[in-house]
This record gives sequence, structure tokens and C-alpha cells, in this order.
Amino acid sequence: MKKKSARWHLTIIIGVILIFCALRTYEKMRILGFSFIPNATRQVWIIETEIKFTANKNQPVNVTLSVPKPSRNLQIFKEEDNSASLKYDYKQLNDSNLRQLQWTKKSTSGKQLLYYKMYVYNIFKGGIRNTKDLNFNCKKPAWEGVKLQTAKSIIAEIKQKTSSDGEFTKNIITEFVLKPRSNKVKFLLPEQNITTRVKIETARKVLALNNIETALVFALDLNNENRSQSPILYLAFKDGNSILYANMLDINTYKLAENLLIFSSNTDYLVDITGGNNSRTSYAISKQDFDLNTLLSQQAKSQFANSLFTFSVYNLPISEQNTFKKLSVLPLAILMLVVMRNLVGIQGMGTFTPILISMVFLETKLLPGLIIFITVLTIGLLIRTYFSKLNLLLVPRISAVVIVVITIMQFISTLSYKFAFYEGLKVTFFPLIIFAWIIERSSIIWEEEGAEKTIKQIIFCLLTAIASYYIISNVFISHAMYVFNELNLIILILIMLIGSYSGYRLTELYRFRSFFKEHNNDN
Amino acid sequence: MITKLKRYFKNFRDAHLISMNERNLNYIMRYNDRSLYSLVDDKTNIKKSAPLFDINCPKLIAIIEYQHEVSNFLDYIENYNTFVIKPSCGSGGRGILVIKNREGNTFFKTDGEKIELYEIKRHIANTISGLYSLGGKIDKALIEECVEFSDIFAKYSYQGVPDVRIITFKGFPVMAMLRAATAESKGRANLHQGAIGIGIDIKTGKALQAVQKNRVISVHPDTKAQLRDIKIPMWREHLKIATTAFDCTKLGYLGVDIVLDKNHGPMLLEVNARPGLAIQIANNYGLRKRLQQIESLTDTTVLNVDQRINFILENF
Repeated sequence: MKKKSARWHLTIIIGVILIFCALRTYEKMRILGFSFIPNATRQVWIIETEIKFTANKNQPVNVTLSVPKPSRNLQIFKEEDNSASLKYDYKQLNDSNLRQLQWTKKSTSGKQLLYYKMYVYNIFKGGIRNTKDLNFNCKKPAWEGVKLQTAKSIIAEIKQKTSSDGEFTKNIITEFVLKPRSNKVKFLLPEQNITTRVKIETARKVLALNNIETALVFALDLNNENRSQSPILYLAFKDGNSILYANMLDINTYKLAENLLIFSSNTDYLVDITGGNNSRTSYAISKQDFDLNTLLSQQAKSQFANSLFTFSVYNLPISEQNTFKKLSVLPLAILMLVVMRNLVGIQGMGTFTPILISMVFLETKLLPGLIIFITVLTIGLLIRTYFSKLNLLLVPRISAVVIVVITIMQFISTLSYKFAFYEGLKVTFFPLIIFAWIIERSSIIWEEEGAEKTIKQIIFCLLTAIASYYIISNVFISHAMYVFNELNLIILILIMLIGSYSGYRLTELYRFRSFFKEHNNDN
Repeated sequence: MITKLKRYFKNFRDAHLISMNERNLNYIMRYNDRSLYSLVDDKTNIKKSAPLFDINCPKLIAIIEYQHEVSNFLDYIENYNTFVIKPSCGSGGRGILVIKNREGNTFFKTDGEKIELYEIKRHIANTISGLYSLGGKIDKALIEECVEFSDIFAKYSYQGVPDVRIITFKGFPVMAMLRAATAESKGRANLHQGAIGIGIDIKTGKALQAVQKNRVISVHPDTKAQLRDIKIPMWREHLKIATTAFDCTKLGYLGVDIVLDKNHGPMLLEVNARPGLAIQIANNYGLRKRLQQIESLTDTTVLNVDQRINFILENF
């Protein structure tokens, strides 16, 4: 390729790669919730639902439970239920804004206890915030005669006092739910079993008469770790452009509390049972910290993630993930090597030898690895020096070196085992061929260019290996390079750029140092 | 301080030194076709093609390619008392055996050391098996006439033959140096092994300065000869060989090694497709300006050898 067109190609490739990397990193951080921190955890809330009821004799039973739907800030790690042991048919019904679980059985009788456990978390930092799909409705009551008259007079009375629909609604809720004192209100409420729920229903009927839409909101307080709790009830209504939430227990603030898990339902109930009675539903919440990587691996498998058309390393089986964890940090070490060779200008013993050595150091730990390496190399070089006097041909010579290395390795292992220096056993981690190759190369350099140059090269090789070891053993780097593997493409760019760098290497400034001092105008 | 540094860097820039990266990227990769390397790496090829271009080479006595031919060794050198055995694909001067004298079947090396016939035969056998070749490949042993180097060089070199290295770019000789062996380099002419590099004015053949291991020196450390007095005789013939080597090899960026024989004049020793950068230090001047000067010429292919030499004599 001509110089100009090669440059042009390179620029385009770099541009495309950079844009791709930026988008992919953004996606991973903001949409998939990947983290740069290696051992990040996320809080998981375990929501346990218990439904007790008495089944009618020999009748089909159908229980429907509305549960929160996964969304950007709410993911489901796993779900458990006891339908199998009770021989119920269990089914999940998902539609666009509702998630329901359905238990059915053809015939049963007696007390039933269904139980369902849901592990929810937010992959992003911060608590769970799920979407509120409010089911606003305005169901007119079937009141007639005196009841209708009473309701209308209450409406008229309160309308006089208030100026807006919002104010009006607030007043009605106060009158009916929080302090039902007036006789007119009491007349509209049933005579007995006046629960909050009944009061709310009555209030909604009155509001409906005035054409005001309301919605029931069920919410669990995620900070409440009581064993047996019911959802907190809110009545949502519109005030101008905003939606207010009347907490049935605390009227002073018309908004949702913090840290709530909101349940949506298409009816005004969360649990719907046919073929049973005496039902009681209770919830329990507990918290637990989970490793983010576990959650991400699970998320990758779940339907939710697939529907977003996402794929990443987390979709792989664990054993492949581990392989790639080791591999994906190598490009950075290779970059360092390229910098050392083409920008700094030092090299040692074959192109990738330092990286291979550093991978061994990962197994042996640095110091034992270094000691073993230097020992084997020294003994090997001594024996190789003798071989060179015998004038052996290349292949037999290297083969002889390989055999010598095997013997040295055996010797070091047995000796260190005998003296209980167990670090010495790690000599087996070193690939034989690396040793043989380094010994062979060193001795050739020794013969051709002398001891000084050989030792220099070995030291450079080891320094590069140590630097590479610190790169590939760093948990932060290896995590980031693994999870955000598109960073490897940026390294690819850098390496390509270095590949077209025609300037001086650092060592060349030293090599040509005489040119710094003198003036040479004569040429 | 900073102005001083700036001046240093300015001096450095003004020297037009090319770096290893630049040499590889802008010259070797662009002007040396990879398929031509094998022509250069095997010395028999250049030996065969050089005479076609009227380039003088040390006369080839024999090529020993197969082990069974080793036993014919005595027949090959029947009429010679002095000869050189070298590996065809050798590098860095390894495996070169110079026989200076002979008494029957006893031979003597340059330093006067005795060497027996069986030792020479083993050396040839080893050479063929690839002991000295790049990557241990099967090789050939060349037996050629020993260069009787010109007396004027005798005092400038310790043992080995001093040779002239000329960089030829697109057929134009651009820079030259004389390489002289020392005791430190063990008689070899490789600069990184401690040989002396003497920068030679490409136009006149006169010495510019001498360096040994990056240090400027004025006398040969072993022979104590004044190095700056050197003026290479038959300089235009040297340039002619370097220039013609381009036509012979088609390599755009080329290192040509020439040795001056007492009787035959300058002779081509070998060519190198990846010549080193030390020549810049020996010349105390970088290659870039001259290389770019030649790169800017259009249609150099119509120029013949003499026109190209005249160009550099007029323009450098």
C-alpha cells in the first residue's frame, strides 16, 4: 500500500474502532450495569410471599398473584415457589405492563399454603426503583335513593370548601379514611367490619361520583424486615399535571416514601383466588449482598437480558469465562512489550518470551519464580557453554539443552522437596521450551557479542517479564480488560499506531548521544 | 539550562539521523521487496550474478554442497596455498576460516595457528550442516580465493580484512565507511563487536572521523596508525561497485561491502538487505537528508551507473 492510502485506512479503522468502543462501554455501564470494580457487590432483596386460604371442596382452584415487573432499575435474580411439592400447575403470565403468577389445580380441599420467593436487585448502584403502572379508574357506585343523596350532599359540602379537584380529593380521603366522624360519612360506610380497605373503597366511590379517577398502589417498604407484613396502600390521584399519592397511614405527605417496591395490578387486588376462601397474604423481606459478577452472569442467562439483544462475556459458561479472564489481560502486556521494543528500544530473548515468563510468575509468585528462573538459567548456561565446545549441530544441540533443562528441573524439585522448600516444586510451572530457548539464545549472544550483552539482554527480559507480571496479576486491570473487552481494540489501535511510528527509540537517543553535543554545520 | 537543552536537541535534529523504526518502515519495507531477500542472504547467488554486471568478486574456487564432496577437498585446493572457507548463509562473520599458508596437508590460519586437514574437513562438514547459518538451515560451504588486501590498509586493521561499507539507495551511493578489525573485535569487522568505523567522504574517499563503540578516536588502538589520514584509492571504482550492486540485486536500500585487493582492485564481498545505522555515527551525519534528496528525484531508472555517481558527486 502507498504511504498516503495506508495512513487513510489507518485513520478510518481507528475512528470506527473508537466509536464502537465508546458505544459499547457506554452500553455496558449504563444499560447492562457492568462495573470497573472487580469485587463489586449489589444488595439483593428477597421478597417472600405467603398465600394462605381454604380451598372449597372438590373445586378447581385458581390463584393469581401480581408481582413487580423487571425494569431498568429492578432485576430478578431468581424466583422460587412451592407449587411443585403441592402439585399445583404454575405459570407466569407476562404482558406489557403486568406480571402475574398463576397457580391452578383441578381439585383440592382444605387449608392451602402457597409460597413464592423473589430475589430482586438493581444492577446499577442505588436502591430499587421500579416503574409504577397505575391503573386509574372511575367506577361509579350503584347507590340509589338516600345513599346517593347523602353522597351528593357530602360532595357539595366539600366542594364549597375547596377550590380544586386536588384539594377536593384530599378532603374526601381525610373524611372517609382517616377520621370518619360525620354521620353522613358513617351512613355511607357499612355497619360492621370497617377496615381501611372498605373505607378506601367507599371514598373512591364518592370520588367517582364526582368523575375523579383514582388508582390503588401497593408497595412494600424495603427497609422493613418484619416477618409478616402487608403492602402499604396508597391512593393515587391527579392534581393538575402531577400525581399525588395519599398514604393511608400518614396523610401529611402526598407522595411515595423512599425505598419502596411497587406492585401493579389490573384489578384492585394483588391476589385473586377462585375456588377458595379465608385467604390471607403476607410478605416478608430480607436483604443479602451478592457478588455483581454472579448477578451479571445470571442476568445474561435470563429472558430479560436476551430480549434486549445483548451478549457479552457473561453469556459464556463459567469455565470459558475463566479462560478469557486470563487471556483478555494479555493485550495490555503485549502493548507494554511493543512499547519496550519500538519506543524504548530494549528487547530480550525472543518476541513474546517475557510475557510467557510473566505468565509463569503468575503461578509461582514473583520471588520464587525469579529465583527458580535464574537458577535454572545459570546451570543451563554453564552446561551449554560446554556443549558449544563440542561443535554440535543446531537441532541436536537444542535437544541436548532441553534434556539438560528437564534434568535440572527434576533436580531442583527433588532437592527442594527434600529440604521442605516447597516453593521449589513450582519449577514445573515453567515451560521447558522457554528455558531451552532462552539458554540457547543467550549462549549464542554470549559467543557472538560477549557476556556483557548477554547479561544485559537477560536483565531486560526479566524486567519486561516483571512489568508484565504486575500488569497481568492486577485484579483491577484484569477485571476491567475482561469485562470491558472492547478496550482490547483500543490497545490494538495503539499497537497499530506504534507500528507506524518512525521516530527515535529512547535507547537511540543514547546511542546517538554524540550528536547532541557537537555542531556540524559543515555538512 | 533549557536553551542549552533546546540547542542540543536542535543539533540532534539537524544531524538528520534516521532511527531503526524509520529505516524499517520508510526504507527497508518500502524499497526492499521481501522476495529478493533470499538472493542476498545466500552468498552464492550474488557471486553468480555479479560477474554479469562486471562486478569483481573474490574468485570462487568451489562450492561444497553435499557431505560426500567434502572428501574431494584436497582436489579443489590443489593449486592454492591460501584460501577462505565461508558459509554461504552465514551472518556476523561466523564460520569464516582464512587459510594463510600451507605445508603439504598442514595449514596455517591468519594468526599463524596450525590447523590439520581433518579439522578443516570437519569445519566444512559443520558448515554444510548449518552450524553457522541463520536458523540452523542446511548450508553450502564456499571456498574462495583469499583477498590480498592492499598494503595501504595493513596498518589500519588488526588481523581481518578491512572493508568498505557503502549504503546504496535506489542505485545511488549515499554514505560510506571503512570498517577495520581490532583485537577487541577478534579480527571481525562488525562495529558492535568493537571494530572501528571510519566515516568516508562519499565524494572523495577521504576519512572524516573514526569511532569505536560510539567513541571518537584518532588512532587505531592496536596498530596506533593515524586513522584520519586514510584516503581510499580507486574510490570511483568503489562507488561503481556499490551503484551496480543495485542493478544486480534490485534492492532499493542496500549495504554493499567492498574490499580492496592488491592485484584486482575493489571487489564485492557481500551485500546486506538490512544494513545497520552505525554508519551515521562513523560519518557524524545522518542519512535522512541524502535519502530524501534521492527520493525527490523523478524517474531515476533512466540514469546509468555513471550518471548516478555523477549526481551524488555534484549534489552531496
